[in-house]
Amino acid sequence: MTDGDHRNEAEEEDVASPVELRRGIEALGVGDIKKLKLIARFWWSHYELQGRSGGPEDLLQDAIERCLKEGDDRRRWPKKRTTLVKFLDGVIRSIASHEVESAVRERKREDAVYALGATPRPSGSATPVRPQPSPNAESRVAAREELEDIEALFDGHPRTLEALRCKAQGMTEGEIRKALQIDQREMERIKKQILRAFVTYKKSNGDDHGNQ
Amino acid sequence: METSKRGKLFSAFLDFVHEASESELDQALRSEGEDPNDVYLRGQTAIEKALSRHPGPLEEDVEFHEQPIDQALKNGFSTLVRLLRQREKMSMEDLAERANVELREVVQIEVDADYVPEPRTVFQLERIFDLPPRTLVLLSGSMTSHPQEFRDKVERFAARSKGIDKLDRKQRKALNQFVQFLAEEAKARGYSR
Repeated sequence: MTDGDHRNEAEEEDVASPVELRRGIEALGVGDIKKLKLIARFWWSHYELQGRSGGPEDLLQDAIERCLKEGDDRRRWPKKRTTLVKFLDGVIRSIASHEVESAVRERKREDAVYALGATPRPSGSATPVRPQPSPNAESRVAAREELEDIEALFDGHPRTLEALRCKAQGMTEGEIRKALQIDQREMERIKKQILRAFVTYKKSNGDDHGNQ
Repeated sequence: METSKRGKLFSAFLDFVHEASESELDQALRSEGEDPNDVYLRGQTAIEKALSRHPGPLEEDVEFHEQPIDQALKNGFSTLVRLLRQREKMSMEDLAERANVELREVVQIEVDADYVPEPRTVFQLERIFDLPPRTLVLLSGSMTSHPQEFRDKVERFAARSKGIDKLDRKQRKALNQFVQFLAEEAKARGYSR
């Protein structure tokens, strides 16, 4: 048996079976479900998927279906490396970003066809099969980086930004408090502010059409 | 700021969200005029739709219905959870926190002979103790059909482990063997894939 085989075997053990995954989903707690719903809404807003049919809940449904469906392209949960909620977060985000990428490709292909001049571009846009990406969403995908400016989100709140920078360096809550010389009360205030920013994140784009 | 640093900041932002408790999330929602229950119902509906479109094998595997509690199995379950917790040198509080369940439930599992734990709790405990799938479900009271020799073995394990509050090498070995037995039983019944 080669090193590669051993690695594959270890990876297989690490991945939840379809039964385990289903049980995990069925066992999600109320808090987990709220979080997933809000995460779907967050990525929906972030990638500006207003043109997609359904709402953020459909995105959540899609993500779970991609994990439950049979076949090689099923999303596999590395159960020992990440929690189910974090894993599903990744699947939701990947679906959202992929849709924008596909739409960008489609638009470029169309542009190329019309640029040849053989076919006149219809007035207005053709019925979109996929969501039409906004320039912002397009640039986010093109750069493959999160370009959303967190600094702008917490403009005027230097403590919160400092806490986020500490967290980005892998600090625990206690370490952040020590580094910033803040007490538990201030830390709680920062956490509340971050959560409020999360639940209101671009809500006007993604969720004001009954898709709450 | 470089884009990679921005990406890290973005991840840190989401890490705070992942680490938030349900009550913290509820508080944030209420402060923005949203009903947490509505958020839950919408999420739950989406999950149920996905599950109903991909029916799995679980429903046939487990018989979830009201049955008198099988005391032998229940004792085996309580004993096993207590010993696994001791093996991992965890207090009841530690276990509740790590499994993300209420302390009350851990206490009930270990001391209340009539208590049947929630399926979610059983699943969480299997994960925390790194047990093969359905190992604990076999004993938790949600499955009702077991061969007599299985029941005998569980009963013997519970009886022998009574009163142990610190595992020695021999008891640790017996515990690991019992877990192995349950894992093989689950596999033989086709519960783990």
